[in-house]
Amino acid sequence: MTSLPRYETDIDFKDEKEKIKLFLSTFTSSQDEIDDGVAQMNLQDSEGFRKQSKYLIQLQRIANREQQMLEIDLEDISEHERTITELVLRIRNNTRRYVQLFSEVVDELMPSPTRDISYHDEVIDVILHQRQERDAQNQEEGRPARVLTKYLQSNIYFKTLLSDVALAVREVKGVHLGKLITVRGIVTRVSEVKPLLLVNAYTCDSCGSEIFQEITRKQFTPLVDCPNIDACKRDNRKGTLHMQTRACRFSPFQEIKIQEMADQVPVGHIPRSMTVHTYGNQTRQMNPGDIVHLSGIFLPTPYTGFQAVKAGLLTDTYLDVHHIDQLKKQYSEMQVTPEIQAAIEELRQDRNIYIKLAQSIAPEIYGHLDVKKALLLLLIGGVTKNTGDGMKIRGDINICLMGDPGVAKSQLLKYISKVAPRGVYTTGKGSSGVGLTAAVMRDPVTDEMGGALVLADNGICCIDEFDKMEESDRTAIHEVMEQQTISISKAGITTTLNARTSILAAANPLYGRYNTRISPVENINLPAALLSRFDIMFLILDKPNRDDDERLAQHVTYVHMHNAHPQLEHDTVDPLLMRHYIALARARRPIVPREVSDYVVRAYVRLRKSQKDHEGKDKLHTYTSARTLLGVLRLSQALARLRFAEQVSIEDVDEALRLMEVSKESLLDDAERDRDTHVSVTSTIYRLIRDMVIRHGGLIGKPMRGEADMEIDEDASGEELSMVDIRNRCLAKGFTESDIMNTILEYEALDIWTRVANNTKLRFTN
Amino acid sequence: MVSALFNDALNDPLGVIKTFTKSEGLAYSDASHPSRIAAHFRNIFNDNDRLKQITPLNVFHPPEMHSNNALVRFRAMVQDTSISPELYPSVLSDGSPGAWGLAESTELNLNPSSLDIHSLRQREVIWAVNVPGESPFVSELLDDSVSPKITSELPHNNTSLKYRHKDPLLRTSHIGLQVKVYDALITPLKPTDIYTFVGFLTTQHISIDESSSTDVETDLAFYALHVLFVVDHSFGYTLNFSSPVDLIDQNLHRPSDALRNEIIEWIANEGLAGDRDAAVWVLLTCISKSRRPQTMGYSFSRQPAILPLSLTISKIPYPEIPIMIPPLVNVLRLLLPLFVDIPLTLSSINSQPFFPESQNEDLHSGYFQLPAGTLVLLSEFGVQEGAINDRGVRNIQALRGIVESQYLDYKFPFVPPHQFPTDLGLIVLTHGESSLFVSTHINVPLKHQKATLNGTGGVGSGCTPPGKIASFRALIRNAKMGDVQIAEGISEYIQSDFVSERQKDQKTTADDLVTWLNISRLLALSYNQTTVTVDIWNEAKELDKRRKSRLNDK
Repeated sequence: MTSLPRYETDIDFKDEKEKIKLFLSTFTSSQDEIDDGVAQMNLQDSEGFRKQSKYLIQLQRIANREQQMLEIDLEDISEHERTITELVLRIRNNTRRYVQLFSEVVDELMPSPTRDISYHDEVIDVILHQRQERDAQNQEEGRPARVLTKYLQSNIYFKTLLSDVALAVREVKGVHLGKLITVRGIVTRVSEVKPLLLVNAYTCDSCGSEIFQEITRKQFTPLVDCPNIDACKRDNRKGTLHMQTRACRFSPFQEIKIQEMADQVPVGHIPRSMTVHTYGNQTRQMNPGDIVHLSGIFLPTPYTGFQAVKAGLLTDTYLDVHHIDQLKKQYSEMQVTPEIQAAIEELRQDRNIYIKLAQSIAPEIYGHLDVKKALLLLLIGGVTKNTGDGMKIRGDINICLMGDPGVAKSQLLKYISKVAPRGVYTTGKGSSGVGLTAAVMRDPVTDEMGGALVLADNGICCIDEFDKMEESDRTAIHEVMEQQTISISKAGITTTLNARTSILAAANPLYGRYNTRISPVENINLPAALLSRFDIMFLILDKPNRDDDERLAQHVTYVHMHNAHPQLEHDTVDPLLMRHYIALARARRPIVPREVSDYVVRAYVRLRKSQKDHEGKDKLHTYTSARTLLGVLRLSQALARLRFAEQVSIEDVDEALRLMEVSKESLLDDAERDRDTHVSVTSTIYRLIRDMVIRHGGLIGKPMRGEADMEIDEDASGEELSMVDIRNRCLAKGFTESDIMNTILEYEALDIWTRVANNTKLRFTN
Repeated sequence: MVSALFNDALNDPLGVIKTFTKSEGLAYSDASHPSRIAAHFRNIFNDNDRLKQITPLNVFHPPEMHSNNALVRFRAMVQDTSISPELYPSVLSDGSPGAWGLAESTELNLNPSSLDIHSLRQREVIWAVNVPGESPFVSELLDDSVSPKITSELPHNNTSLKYRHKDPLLRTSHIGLQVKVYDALITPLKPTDIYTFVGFLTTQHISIDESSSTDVETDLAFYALHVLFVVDHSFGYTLNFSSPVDLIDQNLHRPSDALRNEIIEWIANEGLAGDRDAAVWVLLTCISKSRRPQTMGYSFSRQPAILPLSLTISKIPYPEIPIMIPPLVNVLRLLLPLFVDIPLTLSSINSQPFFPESQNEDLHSGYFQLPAGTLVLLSEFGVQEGAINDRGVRNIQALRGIVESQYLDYKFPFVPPHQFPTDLGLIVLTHGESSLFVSTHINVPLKHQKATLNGTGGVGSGCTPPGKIASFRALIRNAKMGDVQIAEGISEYIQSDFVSERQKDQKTTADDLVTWLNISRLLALSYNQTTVTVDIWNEAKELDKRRKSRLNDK
């Protein structure tokens, strides 16, 4: 639509037209045959087209008014020409010219309609038809038939090559003028759809002839004088033409603004925006908030009219859209590059993956390994089951972090909300104006409306300051945490939205600092019903401890000395890689085999029993319920997923129980804790190794014991285990090298086992 | 010869462009032509005295006072870089250059279709405003213009009213205009950076947006500056701000302790009713700045290693007569080149923008879109009871973001806010025990020696000689630019000291350590020292403990 000066090249356009003609009339794509075949089922005369060109078929449909726009895929041309340097390159560099060439060829190739299309006719078609008939009658007078058959240019579009890289708005420079480019961005504004004049029609008052004026730019001078040589022109009559709106041909036109995405903007810069024009069938394709890839021609448009007077020779630029690619549907699909594939494969081989991934969570926060492990499992999640009768068993893991102010709870939450594919971070009270569920906001990605919880559907909702939450929001949380739905009644509408989300909450103790003498329920101002919905609760306390304090002081002074954060002691997994790994792990659906479920049941019974004991001693800190059982299962499933395993193993359950145990211990006060933890590490490792023996034995012939082998005082003597196996197994469970060594030495001293074969094997003594 | 060139450049810059192009054998259509010209002019105006010869563009010399195409210099903050680049013809049909606004002004009635597409070049367009929060003395030093004492007498011009939303402080009289940058080699201009733009001033009438005819105003006239060359102030305003040189030298040689005592005494007496400790805290806040670590390539920990100090001066007694401007404002305005005071009221919190927001592809500014190194003073004296609405909550969040992480969120439609790094010091004045809206790093209750605060605005100039204030400024600037090392030995001492403090008092947290380290660094800077010593560390701890004991006093 511009007066872009045509620039002279040495390309022979006649030659090009021949090429285009050949392409359009002969190209058949191997892949498209099936699609076309299906499409042709509906066509009455499909047999005739079976081996015809992809584009000729489309042209026929256009002639029959069944299709309006013709999209030419540059991939097809490159397939046809077997190169992307020749015609394709020229099209990409001088697109507007080639649109014209293609339309000329299309006009030549356009078949006549094969069915009655008169009911599709616009006024202009009727007039043309009548004119044709009249001309046919007047043939003998030798007047040339003036027929407007031109297929409208604006309905030919090019689709770029798949290999075309989407640019950021700021990367589009003057050198791209006139070229076919692809730009990525978010739609921020769309104008109304306005009619754009393509063919202007006039009638002459005096001689009655109809005149058609083709409009190719935004500005045009209306005709006033009738050009009829036989009548008006001869008589020199002026100003007899009148515009006939009914006979004009219009095309819809829409102007759109797109803006760069956050990832395309360098830090500290402001996103740029770009004007985009769409015509015809491309209009109404985009809404504000859509993320799109737009292919089109980058064109300058000189300022016109009053603006031109003021602006002189400046030109504005816009993108003339040829192809729209909506991205929102591919939200969950992450691009897996070969490098990431290889890195994930490498990670899978890593036996230390559990610890490694856990340590990569918020690596700048020192320690808290068990908390991080639990958070890792939260990211992976258990398996959600839908039973036949509509019951749903939640697989999402909910975690609550409690603790003194300033122990990096918020950082952990923020990290998780960033690394999770759909993480939402919100504070219970800080965002008082924007209530958790009360604020109805539009998700830019899915177009759905909802508050934070709904936004995090299929993701993780991190709620800071959980204890300071509004009562109404907390009620909603109850529903979310078990039923995974959210009911909103607002303005007379009651609706239930899916909120399949994990909740990661952080809460501060009621009186500033955590008092270990009283129960968590008393410490945190939260109802027990809500607390029981958390699979794991961790208490992170800030206790003076010489080692930790020194390490902390070192870290802080290092920052002040070197103006940089110190190097981390362990290498971490890149968050992007972690995302991919987790996404792959989440695709697994490990099942719980019979013997494992029996094992879980026994463990649960034991937990219930110990709870009863504690109740007797009035030392109740936590509560074991059926929810605990489900929690253990979820954690074990997540652990199995982490290994990409198809089945949950006993080790997974053990680790899940251990995490549960650790989290519970964190709630006890010092004296109790010290006694408990010390026993548990070595004895757990011991039990682990003994289990290996039993399994090992089972494999080589001993019958696998079914029930009632909880107290394993079986005769494990004489069995030998490879130290490598033991180390692998223990590392996978999250124990450290020194823990293992301590256990081995300790039990060796007790004469339970000895190391043989140059310390590479462990033999149980008789 | 050079001075002749200098005079030519000042009086006939266009002629200089033409002769330079001819003598160097350049073509106007060369992509590098604007860069060469920029380098040439930068050589001509290579020192401050020469730069001063160019007519300044500021509130005292508003655009209306300049003729069209006048060569001006404009010290400004980049406000908005989202405007799309423009295309201009580099050569006009008569062979003259098209850049620097010449294409717009010389050939008005030219047919657009005669445009040669190959000569089209791209120029960057940004919106810049005159530096918000620039203290009057800076203008006096750099522009040699004696500013009128009362700012309200300034003429309100139409353009600055119309583009008021582009000014961070919503000043009715400010200079805001489009700056068109031709030099492609220039480092990308970032919002809140300060530059001096030298170029031709023209008027422009077009609106950027012609499509949305519904909300377009009839005539959006504004001024545009076509940049010849740019002087960078991006290393911090203080760095390139050159006060008379002798003051710096003089300061370096004199025992700085005496001067330090004087400045503390002065701040205490003039602004804080004689509270010396509070004055020390104010001084430390003035010289603190954010230090960002070298990136480790880790995207989630972009927080600066060291945040600038934020300070609340609490328990300020209610004055007998309500005062509009706290005396501390006048003190700080005399000391600091970049200083903004924002009196908070509920209505301003609920209605004024604190953070920039993009509306219709136009970035509206907000209070905190300020150049790095600015000190912000918030006074909560005007806050009454009432509700805070949604905008207010977001505003307070923006304020907290600055204190906690030195990032300001710019809001854009449909996407999560973009984070922009800032470096703003903050002092909050409140009657209460702590700030109502933000928890600052340091809270010092005021202990006033005098019965009431000296509420009159006539601080400084009367009773203190200007030379003294200039040396105060030099002290602050030196301290702010200085760097402090913490030696290995001291670091170990500090670590063990912290551990023993923890053993003594369980309430001591890591935050305390960070604070103490921060304070000792700033104390060392205020003493004009380059290392933290044990004495300074202990003094820092003492200072903080005195502050804490004040907090506990009822």
